[in-house]
Amino acid sequence: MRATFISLVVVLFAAGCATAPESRELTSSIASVNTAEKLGASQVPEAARALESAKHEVAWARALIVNGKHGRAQLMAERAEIDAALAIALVREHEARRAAQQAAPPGAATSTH
Amino acid sequence: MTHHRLIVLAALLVPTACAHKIPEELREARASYKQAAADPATRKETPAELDEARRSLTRAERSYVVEGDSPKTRDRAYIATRKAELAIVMGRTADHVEAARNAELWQAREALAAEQAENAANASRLATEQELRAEAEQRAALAITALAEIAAVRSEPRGTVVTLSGSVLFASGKSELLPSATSRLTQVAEALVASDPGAHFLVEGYTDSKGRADFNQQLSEARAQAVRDFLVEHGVAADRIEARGLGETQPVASNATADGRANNRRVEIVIQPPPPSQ
Repeated sequence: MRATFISLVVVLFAAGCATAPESRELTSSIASVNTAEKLGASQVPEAARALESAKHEVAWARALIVNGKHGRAQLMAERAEIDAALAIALVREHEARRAAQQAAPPGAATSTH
Repeated sequence: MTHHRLIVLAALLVPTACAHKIPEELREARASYKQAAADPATRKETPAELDEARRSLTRAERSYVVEGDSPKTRDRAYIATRKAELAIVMGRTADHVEAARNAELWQAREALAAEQAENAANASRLATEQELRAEAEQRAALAITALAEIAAVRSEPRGTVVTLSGSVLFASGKSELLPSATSRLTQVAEALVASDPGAHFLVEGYTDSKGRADFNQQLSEARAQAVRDFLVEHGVAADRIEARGLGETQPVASNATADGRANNRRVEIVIQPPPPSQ
């Protein structure tokens, strides 16, 4: 009886840790990271770097939340968010550049910056 | 205006900045914003993002003033850097999209120009063909008109029929052309050569009803053949002209009078227009 109670507590604690509800400040960042992944950010070198940063920052923000450093966690979530947004923008830029090169008639100069 | 505020802020920061060491992140944020603000594509295409980057940089600068080189200042500077980069990337993207659209427009214009050139060429070719055909028709009409002065010319459903009097072409009962026939037949040959290139010609010999019918049949055939041979010698393509004799079978006048018989002795040349399918 007592053993069951302890194991129940242990199980509940473990489950709680594993499926801890994401804090509100992280949901938006995680959504952006998922979008970047879906768009194929890992296939575009520059975007892949930004995506890696975003993932790293999400993990960092989680650790800050666990440690109760909510102010810093908020900023870390913002960093993750902007890195994910940059990854998405870099994928879009890559696609737009390719489309422009394909649409350009052979020999015609494409705008390059 | 906003630039001014930034500059003032930066100026205020200078002593502090000298006192402390400016964090690398903030230095980078300033450089990134400067780069974004100087980029024409970013200024034109993504002014809202550029403005957002400027606000982020202001927050980082304020944080540096209040807290100095703290993790939060570094985070805010990092965010400002990325926002400036985002504005630049989005500006470039808009440029690429525009370039693609321009390329498509350009190609569409090229295709349209090519089509117009082809249409113009077709129209010009058609006009030339029509002109040539009109010229040929005019030549043929002139030739027929000239012919009408030396022979009877009439229109029938089977074509234009040129009738030459037998007495002008042949001696009685003979099928050799008289010397006097040559000038007329030469003119006929010229008219036939000038006529529609698709036309075919049929030479038909006729006699009056004097004498035996089978002799008249043979005589009419021989005379038609003599006329055909002459015309071929004078430029009419052999595969365009045929000859046949119809003897006394189709009189155009009474065989009871001398005048009528003279009219019945004749050679007719039918100018058959090309079949309508051509």
